This record gives sequence, C-alpha cells and structure tokens, in this order.
Amino acid sequence: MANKKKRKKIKIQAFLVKPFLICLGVFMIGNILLPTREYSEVENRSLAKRPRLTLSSLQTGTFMEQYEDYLMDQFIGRNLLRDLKVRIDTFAGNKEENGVYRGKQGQLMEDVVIPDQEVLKKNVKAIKEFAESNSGIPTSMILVPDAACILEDELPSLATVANQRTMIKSVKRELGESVSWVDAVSVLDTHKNEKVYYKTDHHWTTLGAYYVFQESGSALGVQSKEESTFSPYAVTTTFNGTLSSKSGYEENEKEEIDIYTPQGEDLDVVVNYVQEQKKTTSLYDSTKLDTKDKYAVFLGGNYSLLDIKTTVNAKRKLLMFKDSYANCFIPFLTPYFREIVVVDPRYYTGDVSELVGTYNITDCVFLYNANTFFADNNISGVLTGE
Amino acid sequence: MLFSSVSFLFMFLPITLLLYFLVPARFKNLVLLICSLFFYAWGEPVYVVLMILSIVFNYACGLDIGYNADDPVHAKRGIIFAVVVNLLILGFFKYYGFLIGSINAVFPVNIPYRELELPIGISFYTFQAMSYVIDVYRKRVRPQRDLMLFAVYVSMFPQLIAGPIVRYADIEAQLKQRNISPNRFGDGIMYFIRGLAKKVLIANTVGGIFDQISGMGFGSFSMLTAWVGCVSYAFQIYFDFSGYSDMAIGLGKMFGFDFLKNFEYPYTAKSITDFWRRWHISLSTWFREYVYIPLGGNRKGTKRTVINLLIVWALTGLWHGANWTFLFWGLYYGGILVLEKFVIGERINRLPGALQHAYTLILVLIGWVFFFSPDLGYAFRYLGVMFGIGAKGLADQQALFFVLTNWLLYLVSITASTSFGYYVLDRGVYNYRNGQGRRGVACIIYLAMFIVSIAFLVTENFNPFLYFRF
Repeated sequence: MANKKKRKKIKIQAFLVKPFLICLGVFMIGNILLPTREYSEVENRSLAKRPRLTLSSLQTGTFMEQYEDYLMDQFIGRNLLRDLKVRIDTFAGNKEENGVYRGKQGQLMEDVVIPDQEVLKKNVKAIKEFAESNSGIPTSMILVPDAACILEDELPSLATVANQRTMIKSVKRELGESVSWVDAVSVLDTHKNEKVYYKTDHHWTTLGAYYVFQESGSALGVQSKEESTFSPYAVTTTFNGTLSSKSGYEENEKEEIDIYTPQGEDLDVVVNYVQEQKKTTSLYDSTKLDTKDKYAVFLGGNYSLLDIKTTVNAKRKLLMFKDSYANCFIPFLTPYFREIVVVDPRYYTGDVSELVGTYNITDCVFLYNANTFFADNNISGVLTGE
Repeated sequence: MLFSSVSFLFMFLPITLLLYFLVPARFKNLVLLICSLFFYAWGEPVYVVLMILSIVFNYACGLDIGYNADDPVHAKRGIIFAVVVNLLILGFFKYYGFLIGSINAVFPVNIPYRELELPIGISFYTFQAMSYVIDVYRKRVRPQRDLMLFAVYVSMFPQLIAGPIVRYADIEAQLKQRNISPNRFGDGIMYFIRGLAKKVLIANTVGGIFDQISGMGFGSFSMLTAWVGCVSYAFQIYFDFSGYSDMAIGLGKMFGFDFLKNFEYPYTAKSITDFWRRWHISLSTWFREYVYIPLGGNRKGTKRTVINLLIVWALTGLWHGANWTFLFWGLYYGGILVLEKFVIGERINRLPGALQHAYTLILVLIGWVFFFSPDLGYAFRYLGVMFGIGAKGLADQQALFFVLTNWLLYLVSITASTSFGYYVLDRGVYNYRNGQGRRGVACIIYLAMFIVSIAFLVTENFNPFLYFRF
C-alpha cells in the first residue's frame, strides 16, 4: 500500500516536466519570433529595443541590463500579463499601482511629488530674479494643484498623500511681491464637484483651465468675459489617459475632451513651431485624436518653443513658461494678445533674455502643474542661461 | 544573472537544459561548467577572472595539501597559506574600504582609498572553496585531481551567487555520478516554481512596502508604521532568501544534484537558538564546522565557550556585509545566544508556546532593524520610533492603509512562513483520490504559480538583489 502511494506521488512530479519545458520553450521561441515593437499604445511609452553590443557595454555590464529591459518590454503577451497582474493586485485589495491611486468612483490620481529642496530653491530663486530684473514686464504665476490635492476626499480610504497645499503656499511666500499670484487652489476647490480633472489622466480638464483662467483675469490684466463668450464642444468621447496607461486601472473608461472656442469673433492664429520649422493655422491638432495620446490635440503636444501670432487688435505680447497643463489653457489667452511665445523649459535650450528682446515681450506668465513643477530641474537652468 | 529575470528564465535556462541533456554523459560536466561561467560573466564580466583564479588556486592548494598529507608540518603550512590567501582576497574586495574608512574615522589620519565594487557571490564561493581545502587537510575528503570537476563544484550556477553554501564533502560523489530521472526533475521544477513565486510574488511586493516606509523621514511616520515596515522587511528577506535557496535546490535537482536544506520555517522558532538552527542553515553549519569547533567549541570551559561564540557571531555578522551595523547585528545574536545557553534558556523552555514565539519574533524583528539600516544611528532612531520615541503618534491612517490594501499579501506571507502554508499547497494537490486528478491539479497549480510569477516579473520594475553586500 505504502509502495503504491509512493508511486502515485512520483508520477505527479514527472508529469510536470513536459508542461514546464513546453512553457519555457514557447515563451523563449515566442520572444525570439515576435517582431520588436517600438511603442506600447496601452502603456503609452516607448519600449526598450535590443541594445547594441559593444566591448565597453559588455565590460561594464550595461549591455546585460539593457538586454533584460529589452526582454521585459518585448515579452510575448506583455499586455495580457500586465492585465493579469493588475487584476490580482486589485483582488488583493491594492489601491495603488505604479504611483497611481485608484480612488473612489474610479478617479485615478497621481501621488503627490515631494520636491528636492535644493532644486526647488534654485527654481524659485530664478523665477524671482527673472521677474525682478524685468521690472517693466508684469509677471504672474499660476501653479495648478494636482487631483490628489483637490480631490483628496476621493482618495482610497485611509490613503494619505503629502500636503501639496502647504508646498504651493510656501512657493507663493518665497516669490512674495515679485509676481502676481493666481490662486488656482481655491478656484479648483470651489469647483471640485464639477469635472475639473480627468478621471484617467493627470491633466486638468478644459473646464478646470477655464475656471482658473477666469480667476487669473486681474493678474494677467485681461478682461475675462462672461462664460457665454466661450462655447465648449467635445472633440472626442473616447479618451483614456496616461494614468490609466501607467497603472493599468480603468482601461475601459472613456472620457470626453472639450475645447472652448471664443464665440462671435473670428479669430485667426498662426502657430509657428520654431525648432521644427513648421507652421499651422490652428491651436488644435486633430490628427492626435486618432492616437492614444489624445490630450495632445492641444497644440499637438509639447514643443520647446512656440510662437503663436493672432489677428487680435492688441499690442501686448506674452511670454509663457509652461508644462503640458498650459496646452489647454493657451486658447483662452489668444483673444487678448497679439503674440504668445511659449517656452517649455524641459526642451528649450536657448537664451531667454534674447527672447524677451527679439519678441518685444510685454507680459510674462509661468503656468505649471504642481507635480511637474516640484519635480522640475530645468527652470533655473533656462532662466539663468546656465 | 538573477534567477528571477527574463534573461535567465527564457534564454539561459532553456538553452542550458537543452545542451545539458543533448550531450553524452561524459560531456555533461563540461557543459555545466561553461554555462556556469557564462552565467557568472553575465553579471560580473570582469570579476569572472577572479573567480577562475580562485578556483585554480584552491585546486592547486588541495593537491599540495593532499600530496603532503603524511608530512604534518608541510600540510599545516599549506593549509595556513591557502586559508590566508582566501581570506586576503575576500578581505581585499569586501572589507578594505570599510577598514580604511574606519581607521580614518577613528584616528587622525586620512588614508585615501577607492571603494571597490564587491564581486557578486564572492563570500559564497570563497567559503565553499575553503571548506574543500580544510577538509582535504583534515583528511575528510580526498583531493580532487580533476580540475574540471573542482571548477564545476565552485562555479555551479544554481548555488553560485546566493547560496546555499554547499560543502565539498556533501557533493563529492555527485560530481562524478548523478541520477537524473523525470521524478527528480519534476521535483526540481516544483522547488523552483515555489522559490520563484516566493521571490517575485511575495518578497518583491512586500519589499516595495518596506522601501516606501524606509524612505519616509523620521518624525513623519507612526509607531505602527515602523512596525509594519519592520515586519515587511522580515518577510521580504525571508521570502527572498529562502526563495533563492528553493530555486537553487530545484535547479540542482534538475541537473541531478542534491543540496541540503537551507531554511526550515525560521519564523516558527521558539527561541533564538532554535531560530538559528532554521535560518540560513548552510552558513551556520559552515561557521560551526570551520570556526567554532576548531576554536575549541564548548569543550574548554564556560569562559572560552562565551568567547568562542562571540567570535563566531562577530564574524557571522561581518560576513553579511562590511559595516558596523552587521557587526552589531552579529554580536547582538551572539549575546542573546550566550544568554540563552547559560542563563535564560531553561526559563524560556518553560514558557507557554505563544510566549516563546513572541519572544523570538520580537528579538528577530529588532535584529532586522540593524540589518536593514544604513548606519547605527539610523538603526537606533528607527528602533526608537518602533518603541514610541520620535514617532508620529501610536498609529496613523498610513499604517492602516498599508495593511488594508495589502491584506492578502500579509495573509499569504504569514501562512507561507509556517509549515501550514506548504501543507495547504500540498493538500490542494493530494485532495484528489485518483492519480489523474492529482496530476492535473498539480499541473494547474504549479503552472498557474509560474505564469503569475512571470506576469509580476515582466511588469514590475522593483526586483532587487539583496545579497550584493554578502
């Protein structure tokens, strides 16, 4: 009897050999045969490609590290496996994936970035000095809080994030009188029950931008007219944003992207993508609506330097330092400025003081999302020309 | 190369297995050697030369000592030379920077030095090689004449970078003659998959939580969070380390080797003495065999025993890394073991079981704080928070969030830390009366574990190697 039992037990182990080896073989050959993909639509990022083999990369071991990244990124069935992992994590009670919280009612929120104090100090100092040295040019600052700050109540139960309000307040205090401050936090607080942030993306909605624009009227010296002068309409209803890609949560959620156009007046623009040497006559790039990254419909995404000329009968010329939050905000400004020069310090490497002279700038604004601002290490470099 | 990497699982392993089973028996060791050297060179493209030199050196020493076995003076000179050179190599790569740094800190000098990168696994393979030459000297084993077999013993990839420390005496016969059967191979697969799941599903996930907590500044987390962090680390290191050992044992079985058990549910220990009989068994065995007993063990009176124990534990601590924290950690255990041996051991034995477990676990958790801290100052501050000094309150939302959103992970961790976890897994398989049902279920359970592990491995970027300081 004991013997018989033992024999059965042995069989189980032997039985596992074939399926396991088949599994190894299928994945190995599958990985080899699968053509290399450049870009993952689902994850919204470029995938690692096969590294080049050189003597030095071999010697330092970087080749091996890159090769592992390549195998991971190009793994056969990667999207299915990713889906499996997110499902298991969700079942296990997990409410955070890759730095993204899945809040109540499926609101996705990026964790609040904690700044490196040294870098932050340098950035703030550079902004202050820039504003003070160009005293003839009124400068304002719009620092837009993140969803995790405004929609704190929507965070998963018990989840806590760093206090972004205090961080933003301390930037305001540091800048003091050198800039006119636009209090985006309280505006968005007032409207937090409306859809001011996307559910699946880290950006604010055009509605959120519109409320902050109204508030910024006095700081920017523009007469913000009644809401009726801009009319919203949806350009897509199938937007699934980057937070979804990053976390794997809510990948079936479809959202609407609205654009607001000034009513009545006929306003023409010419957008000059300076470095790319490309010109268009629209603030919107509708071809992006067919891609995954639909938020890029605003100005086609992020570029180092844009020069937007309008047909408005005005003399003022605005210089803007910004991140992607500004892309849906800029259309609100076009009726008030003859020209808007838009610098994205993450990509721009030229001389800023030269820009001020060349374009005869009369006004300046810094528009940043708090998370990008607190993680940024380019602003001080671009402003001081270092 | 790590076992828990795509390059290993779906490139190196299938190719190595294929080659190994395709070639005739007399070439199998050669295949194993070449693949092992490739495996090591993949992670250490330069230091592989050092390992080869170490192999050749110890091979020659073994022959020399064996040849002069009848001449005690010559043999003794040989073994001292071999041990000193091995320790010098280890010392140079592992402790040089620490030593000079400490001298600079203590004395008013400033000796310039360059911190060398530690060759992966050097502590493991040096200890293996030393076990061989010492055993040759003691005439426990005969010197290995075949350089290739000796090289296979030292460099064998399953146990090369994270143990277990296999003694030559335990494996001598298997180097020449190995039994490979489908059952052993299948058993190896089961070990391997269990180990992989332990590493990828439990250790990496729970390690992510520890990483988050240890990255918070002091004063910003509560007492409970500190405990959650410490418990998370305890699970991380256990599942990581024992997972690696299981994978090593499993791979060994696939290639026909039997390695000894390295972990025996250490967190179910009833005393610290018991804990160290269950944790990293191959290391404690090594130190007992080659340090403690040669020093006289417990045969030379109480005073000498205490000194011997403290020496062994100071060395055990330093083996884990060149840092004061590890020395402290080793002496901490040395101290407790001395106390248990001579003072409180009997009293602990008479405690109810639950208290014995609580006593052991609390001391082990305190020990891990020294183990994971970058310096002693951090360790004491962290311990302070665990016991309410400098903590942000008793408990806060954050700690509850960690526990609540990872309830299944902690439940699985606790279960799998005890023999009950294995029992559940085994029951899942053996519940079925008929053989076919069992085979099917076993197959599904293990392949599911494998696929889920791959899913986590491929999509999760957090996959640390904890033994880079060993």
